[in-house]
Amino acid sequence: MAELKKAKKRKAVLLPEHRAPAILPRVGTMISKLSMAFAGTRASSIFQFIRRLLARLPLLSHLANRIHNSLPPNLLWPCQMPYRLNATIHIVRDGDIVTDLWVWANNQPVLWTHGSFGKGILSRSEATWARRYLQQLRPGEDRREYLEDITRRRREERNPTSELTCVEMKDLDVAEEDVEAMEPVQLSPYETLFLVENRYLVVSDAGGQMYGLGDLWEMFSLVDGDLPMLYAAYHYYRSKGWIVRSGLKFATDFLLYRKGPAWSHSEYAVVVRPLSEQTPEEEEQQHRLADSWQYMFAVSRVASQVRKTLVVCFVKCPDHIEYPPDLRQFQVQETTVRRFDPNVNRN
Amino acid sequence: MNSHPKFKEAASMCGQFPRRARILFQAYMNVKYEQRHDSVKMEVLENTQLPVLTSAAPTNKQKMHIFVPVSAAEDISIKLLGDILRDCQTCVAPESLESVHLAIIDNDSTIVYYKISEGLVLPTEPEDSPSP
Repeated sequence: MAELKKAKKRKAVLLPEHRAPAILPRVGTMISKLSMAFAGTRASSIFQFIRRLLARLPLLSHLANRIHNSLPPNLLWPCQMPYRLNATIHIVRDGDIVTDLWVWANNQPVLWTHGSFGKGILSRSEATWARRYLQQLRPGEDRREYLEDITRRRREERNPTSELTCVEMKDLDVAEEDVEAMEPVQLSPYETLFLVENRYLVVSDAGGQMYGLGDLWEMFSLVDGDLPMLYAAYHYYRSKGWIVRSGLKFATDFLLYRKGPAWSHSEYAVVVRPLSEQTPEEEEQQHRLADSWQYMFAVSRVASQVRKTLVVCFVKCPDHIEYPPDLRQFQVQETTVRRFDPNVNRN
Repeated sequence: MNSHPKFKEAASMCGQFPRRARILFQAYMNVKYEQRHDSVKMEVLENTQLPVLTSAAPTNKQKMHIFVPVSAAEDISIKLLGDILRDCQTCVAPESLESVHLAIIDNDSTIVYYKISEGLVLPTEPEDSPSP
């Protein structure tokens, strides 16, 4: 018996990433039994085909990994979306010129649970307005305390009369069939481009016309000239696994979360600055940390008071950018800025 | 946006100012349905021709708040701020204006309110002021 065990151990063992899941041998055995039960029929040949396919899964997994590693960097981020989603783009034109555009998606939980994408237009982050509205209308059905309720409760504790002046939820005159449609989820341009680039989002307008990645890049860049630089920074941090959200509330470009706003506060506040090709003299003048030290101190103070570390992310963009851009031509350099007080931080 | 169930409440003003339709509608929805202010209406500032929101002040229904929706990507000059404040004084009766707020809206619908006023707030007299 011991010799038999040693003989089994001497077999070639696949590397962990090439092994098939443990459940497959049981499935293979079951399919073999089904094949024997239906011997002589067409079903038997189908079961045998499935069994041979399962036996080759480790090889297929190995081939899939080799293909995955050879893909360009843009597609290497392991996006967690289980399936492709749809979103609607709204475009405002002045003649032929695009003056404003935004992307709304239906409130689909997978957007929030798999990467914290999007923001409800009536909520702080996750779209919860409909649930909070129904919670007020039907007390007792949903006992969950939402983020907005926590904020409101703390405001009441500071100022007991603040909530007495608000209109009650039940007096807002919202028809029951309209409750779910009251709060679409808005995707920022960076989230839209990231999801479309990784083929997890399909964008179309109200008339059904679909927009590809190149069209979206051209339209978004008309509205925001700094889009390539900001998107390069967004993609950089997303690729490292950070959840990237808007940093408007703290006077920065982005906020970085480890898991997402639902789990913890953000740790880093990111300010994105350009880094361009200049002569050595111009380079010394242009590569300034900020417009002024007063501005940098102000942003640093705001970040430190809310317990975040300020990160200045320099992005070097290529001279000529095509849409969609090849992010391999961009360079990113990060610098953290933290105030040091010798009297306080000596040790 | 036309398919939103509450868009009809803002359709007229959004059609008049299509470039500001998104920020106007989002500010309106936030002030009325999330912050739940009372008597939310839309007005237009006379000189700057900017659409704004007015709502009744919570502590005194005779006074009003004014919210000016602006985009986070928009360039706002000191001159424009001054013009907005002067227009707000004429938009409502001066004695009924409680405060003026900028509603700054980002491209992911994040909205931040900042109260603006003209001039400094005068310091309060200290309780034990020395006699001259």
